[in-house]
Amino acid sequence: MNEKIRNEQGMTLIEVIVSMLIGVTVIAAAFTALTTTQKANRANGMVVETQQNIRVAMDLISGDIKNAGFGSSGIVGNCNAVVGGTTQVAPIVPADKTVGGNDNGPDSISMIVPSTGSSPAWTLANDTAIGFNQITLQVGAAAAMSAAGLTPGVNNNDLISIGGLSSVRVLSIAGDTLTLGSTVAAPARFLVNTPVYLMQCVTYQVIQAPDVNNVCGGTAPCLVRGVTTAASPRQCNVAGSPCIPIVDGIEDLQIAYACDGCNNAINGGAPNGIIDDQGTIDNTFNDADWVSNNTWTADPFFTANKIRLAKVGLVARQTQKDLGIGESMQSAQVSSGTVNVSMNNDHVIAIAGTETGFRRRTLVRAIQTRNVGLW
Amino acid sequence: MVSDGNLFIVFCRYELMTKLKHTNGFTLIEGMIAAAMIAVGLLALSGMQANSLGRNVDAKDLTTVTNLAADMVERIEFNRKRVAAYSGINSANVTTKPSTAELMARGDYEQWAALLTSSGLSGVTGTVAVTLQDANPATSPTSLGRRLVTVTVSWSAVAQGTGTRTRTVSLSTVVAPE
Repeated sequence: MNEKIRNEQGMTLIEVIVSMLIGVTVIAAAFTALTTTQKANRANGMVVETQQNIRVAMDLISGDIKNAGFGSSGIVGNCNAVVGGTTQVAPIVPADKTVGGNDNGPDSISMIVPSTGSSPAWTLANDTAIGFNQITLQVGAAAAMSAAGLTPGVNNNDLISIGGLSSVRVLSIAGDTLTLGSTVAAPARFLVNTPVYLMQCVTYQVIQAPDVNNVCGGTAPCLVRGVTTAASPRQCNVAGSPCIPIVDGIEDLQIAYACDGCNNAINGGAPNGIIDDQGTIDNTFNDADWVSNNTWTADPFFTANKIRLAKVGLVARQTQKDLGIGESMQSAQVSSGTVNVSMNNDHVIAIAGTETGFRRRTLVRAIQTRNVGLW
Repeated sequence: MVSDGNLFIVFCRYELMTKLKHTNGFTLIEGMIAAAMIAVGLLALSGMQANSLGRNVDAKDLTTVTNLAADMVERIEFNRKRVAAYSGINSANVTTKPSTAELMARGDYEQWAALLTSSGLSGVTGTVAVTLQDANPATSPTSLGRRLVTVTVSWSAVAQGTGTRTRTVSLSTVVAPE
């Protein structure tokens, strides 16, 4: 055996070179497959994430637009608009980026919406009397409501809704008992486990760079939602704002509104279940009847409490630049150009320079404002 | 190049195993066959990539279409007093457009059809079916007049391999005029 090995002449140089060539070729192919797979996987993941983000953002915003108002009355947070010549509370407060001109950025929207907690449940611990000015909540619920922003006796931050029917201010909190600012008159009575909602004025806004509070965690733009106390125009991108990030990669938010009873030239300014014409009165419901450029303060008709439909347009993009799936580290997927939210709004995103290299998704949906009717 | 070294060891073992006779390593043909087999394996991998990307496109289409259907449901919810006007509309057939007497329904039809067209989906068609659930409110004053509204959007999706397949999304809701 040993002798045989000693007598072995081994491979010739040519053989070694050819075998190495074949080996290198095979390994190179395998590595290319590996890196391509990895990059495709990454691109795939980011596209999935982008689609998920825009879907979630649309669901959250449309959910709150449907709830906006919540049959409430009284001052809630900062949701004020000029209605009937005076500044008063409004269920929806539009905030167009540039009123009366083409937008150069995303809109924002503020709404009065209910919030509730599940652990402990924000519910009544026992039946109320018939006509009452005190309620007792489940153990710990009052503390949880305080933590969420309920401030007794402080206008704008002390409104609750009992069962979605009675909205009252809270005067003071002792333990789990809330003393109300007014008596809920007889025959109103609520049974144990009736949910109690904290009414808040929340704002949705797209935070673009520079991100003052770094809420997007370095991946601006993102969509934030928060209870803002800053004066009009509502602003989440100011120092110390309590807004929290909810969806990554939302680049644009555009909202157009349709209203009923807001044009005094139609039906005497009374609502008739038909969206009012804007501009030319042509007795049709068309794109021109969606309002995107307005302050909603034309006394006493063209006001925010007349909004009956809201058309939300969203643009989402990848949170990180696309690197393509080829060998080079650059993507030719999305070059410069524009993204139109494809509604009758006035904002088109111009993609140039550092904005290239992101895949984008857009969604547009009309939403009925179901709960503003009582205002 | 560790891998090259491994390859070399494989060569050595091959020679020992064949009892060290007149073995001259792999022939070129053998090497090429091995490379071809690996290439087939890699091709299968790339097929999986294509499959995965295709599923992603499906997900995008579904999101878009569900959103389009929800848009119409919201419009009908607003105009629920005249929900019957939406019965049988078809975005691909203008003769089903509601009459000018149904101002809102007509506007909704036009805007919805435009939205469908601009969605970028091929062969996208939206229809609405409205079915009365209770007794006819025109003859029965106590009837609630509830109607089942089904908004259906169908489109041609790219099928695996060649050709297209028609896909459909339906949203149903019960609407009662107040």
